[in-house]
Amino acid sequence: METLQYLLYGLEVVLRPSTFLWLTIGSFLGTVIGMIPGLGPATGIALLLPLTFVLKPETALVAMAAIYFGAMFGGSRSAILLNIPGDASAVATCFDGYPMTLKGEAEAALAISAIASFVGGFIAAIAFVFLAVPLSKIALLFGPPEYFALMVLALTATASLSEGKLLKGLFATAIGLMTTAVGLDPQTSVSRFTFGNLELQGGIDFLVVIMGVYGLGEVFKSVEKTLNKSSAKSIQRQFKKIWITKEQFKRTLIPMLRATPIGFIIGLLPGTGGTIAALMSYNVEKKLSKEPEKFGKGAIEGVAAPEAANNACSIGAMIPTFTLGIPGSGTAAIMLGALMMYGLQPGPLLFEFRPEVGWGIVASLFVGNFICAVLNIPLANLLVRVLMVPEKILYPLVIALCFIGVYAAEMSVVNLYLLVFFGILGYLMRKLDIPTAPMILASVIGTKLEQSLRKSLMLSDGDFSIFFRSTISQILIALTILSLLYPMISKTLKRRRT
Amino acid sequence: MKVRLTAVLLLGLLMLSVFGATYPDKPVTLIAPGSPGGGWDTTARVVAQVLKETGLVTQTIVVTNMPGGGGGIGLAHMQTKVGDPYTIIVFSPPLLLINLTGQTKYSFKDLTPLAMVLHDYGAFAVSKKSKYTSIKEIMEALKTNPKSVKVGGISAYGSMDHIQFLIAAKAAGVTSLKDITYVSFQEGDHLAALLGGHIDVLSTGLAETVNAVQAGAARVLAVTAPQRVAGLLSMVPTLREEGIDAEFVNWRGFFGPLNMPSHAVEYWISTFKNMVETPTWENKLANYGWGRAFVAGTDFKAFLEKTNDLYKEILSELGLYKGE
Amino acid sequence: MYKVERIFNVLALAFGIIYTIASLKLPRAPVGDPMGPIYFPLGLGIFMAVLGALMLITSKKDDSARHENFQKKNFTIVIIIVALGIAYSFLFNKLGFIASTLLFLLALLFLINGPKSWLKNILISVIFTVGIWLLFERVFLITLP
Repeated sequence: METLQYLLYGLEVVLRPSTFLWLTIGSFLGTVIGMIPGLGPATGIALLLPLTFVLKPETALVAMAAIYFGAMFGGSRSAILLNIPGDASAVATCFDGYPMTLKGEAEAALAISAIASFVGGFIAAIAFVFLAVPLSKIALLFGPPEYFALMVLALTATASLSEGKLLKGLFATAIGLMTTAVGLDPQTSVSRFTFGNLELQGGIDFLVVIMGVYGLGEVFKSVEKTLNKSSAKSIQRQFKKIWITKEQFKRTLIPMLRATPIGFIIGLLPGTGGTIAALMSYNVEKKLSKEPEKFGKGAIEGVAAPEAANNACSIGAMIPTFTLGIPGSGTAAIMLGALMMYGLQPGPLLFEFRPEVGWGIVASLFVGNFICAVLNIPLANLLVRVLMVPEKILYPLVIALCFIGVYAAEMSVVNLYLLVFFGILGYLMRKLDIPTAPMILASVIGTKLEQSLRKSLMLSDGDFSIFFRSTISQILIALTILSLLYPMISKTLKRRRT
Repeated sequence: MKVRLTAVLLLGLLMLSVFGATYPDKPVTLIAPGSPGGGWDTTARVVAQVLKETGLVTQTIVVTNMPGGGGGIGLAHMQTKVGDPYTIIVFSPPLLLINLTGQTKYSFKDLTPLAMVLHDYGAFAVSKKSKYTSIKEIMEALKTNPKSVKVGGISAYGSMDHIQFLIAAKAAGVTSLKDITYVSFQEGDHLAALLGGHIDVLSTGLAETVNAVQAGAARVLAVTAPQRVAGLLSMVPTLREEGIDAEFVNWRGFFGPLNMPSHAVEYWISTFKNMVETPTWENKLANYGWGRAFVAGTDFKAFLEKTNDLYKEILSELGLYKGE
Repeated sequence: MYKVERIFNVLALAFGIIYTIASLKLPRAPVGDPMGPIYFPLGLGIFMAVLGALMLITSKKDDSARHENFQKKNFTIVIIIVALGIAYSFLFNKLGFIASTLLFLLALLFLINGPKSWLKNILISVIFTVGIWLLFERVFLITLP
């Protein structure tokens, strides 16, 4: 059991006072950064890169890993309380987290999101220890055509979830994909739909789309309601203990355990990320549920599953990063950058020659997840106070935060105008009963989807049969067709039953 | 309340004017026009680190990745920063190539050249499971069927990674250069594509292959340097040793936006000049297998003009030049 | 509401067609497959047009009972916020972060919270603006204009 010995050594490294201190600081900072809409773990870690000049490599990397999963915990706070995902991967948490708050179950939502994050993270960390090497080999089997098929599946599955509104869901998908076709084409630098604007050449950051559709769009709709009613309905102001009931735990246990492997495996694939993991696991839960109609109206499983998945995903993403030097996500890519700034090369050798770094990171996954869970449950109690601010004051502040967040993401004023545009779009989509989730997912993965399509065609010299060649592609395509037919199938099944 | 606020604002202004006397008085953005882990990114981060460690620059240097368009997106971004003394960018041959192939209307003339600080070289790598054991075998396979070997790289089609392979192939006697499949992986997935067998050979910079070689996952068949490089890849033969009469130097340097104030230009030229003379920098060169180089200011500009003509010639021969 | 739904479907169809035409008019790639950058947007345009047509065919009269009304009164407030947002975007670089954000927040608060609690509005605007500014400048080291 060499692995266990190394793991114990890693734990010893992490529990040294200086490392432990930075792990705690990282977890706290990560939670705070994750909560602020517009600042995600990537920004957080990037901003802390200068730390690498003063800290020892193991300390700095442990702190960065802590920020990563801290942000996964934190992103759900603002999703649940304000219906704004603090971080892109918390999008799915909004679907049921916010309705729970509206129903007066904010305590349970906050508690389950922290618990699910912990469960997902902890199990994924165990998997990291034993599966790192064999699993990174499976990820390598995914070439451009397989990625293309995987992303198409993710999109159709999300669109078909909007039951009875498949066409509208696909419409939202198309709009989201269109936002990614703006800017210079990464393969050939051809300028597309930029209308001669230089700042648009870099493309539209999906963050702007998310903040516009979920932040502004939501506020527009709510503001309208608040002002229309003569006596504004007050949100629940008194809060009980942040915890869940035994019955709630029983309901969420299986969804959490199902979501963890989904998130973990998606994290392994380079270039995917927490958002896809969270949406996928949400989809799975909704489809497997006996009461799918409760989803979107405050089902606790709908909070547990994506939260477990995105934490598991953040850990899965570290496997290809540290074992192969292939980052599984944008955030992992920045951590890889930090590693290389120390002159350390990722790979199996990292774990052999510099165990304090390699295994320190692994051990920090366990300890850090624990710290985050401890921090987040009492912290949640403090954060609930945000809701005590009257809506009439809260909304202006949220609007301002959206603007500041998108500006800070790219230091670009064009983003402010785009935010207004997507705010209006989000508002109209809500009015027309068009689901917004497919649009968000599409705007996040659109660029990768197009690139994998193009790379596949370049590899095959323009032959479309490349998409059907491998078994992985065939399975993924079959699942795609199934997901499109699903609304029809479920309708016929229901008819037959009655 | 209002009085106090005014006082705070005034104090703030005062502090700004006292400390604002010396450039740079706020964080400098250093743009790497590629994704993390690539050559530009590595150069940017290493230079930022050396400048900090040696105390040559005390302000924070924020490295920002702006991948896409083979550098075209970063280059376009610089056009929105005209006259800004707080934004600099790292570039290399693609700066000239993407303009010559018509992928961007901007050229090196739309930037202020500061200094070239190092030479890097190209490497041709295969997966450890590959049936190819020498670059010669790959070239022979291409001679019989140009579609039989799939080449991948990081830079865009027609840019550095692609051109360095075509230059080698041409020297090796491959004729149907245009038919060779080349796919650009710009999102940091180039190694995954190689190790997963989705491409047969990876044409890229030395530094980008070192990780995979060290981990035993990939083998480098040849380097484009004029002589063998130091460090881990010292066992790898040069193209000439393999009987292919070609070389390709990947120079890397820093640029400011057009109309960068002259005090800022002078500051960076002297800073880079001091940097390349430090032992810390020497260590980094050895670590990454980079060659020593320093050309600054007007000399750098002259070098760019000369090199641009040279590339134009090569690209015309390959049928990729899209200029007048 | 059936009418609004119809208009939306027609707009989707029209947008799909316009987008398709615009895609075909995009510049060709100078290197590699000249149509390379066009496939994706072209596919999207056609997809959108087909969706618009399908929605038009399948939409039923009883399908849209759930919609809220598009009332003039409802729109006014949203339009004012949008106008403020555009003004803020316009003034952001010109007035700098502090001044523009302060004005923006004040306007929003007076609009939404009402002029009665003017003191509260002013206090919140000042504290929030300065707080955010300090957070970015001092903690995150992001320089705001």
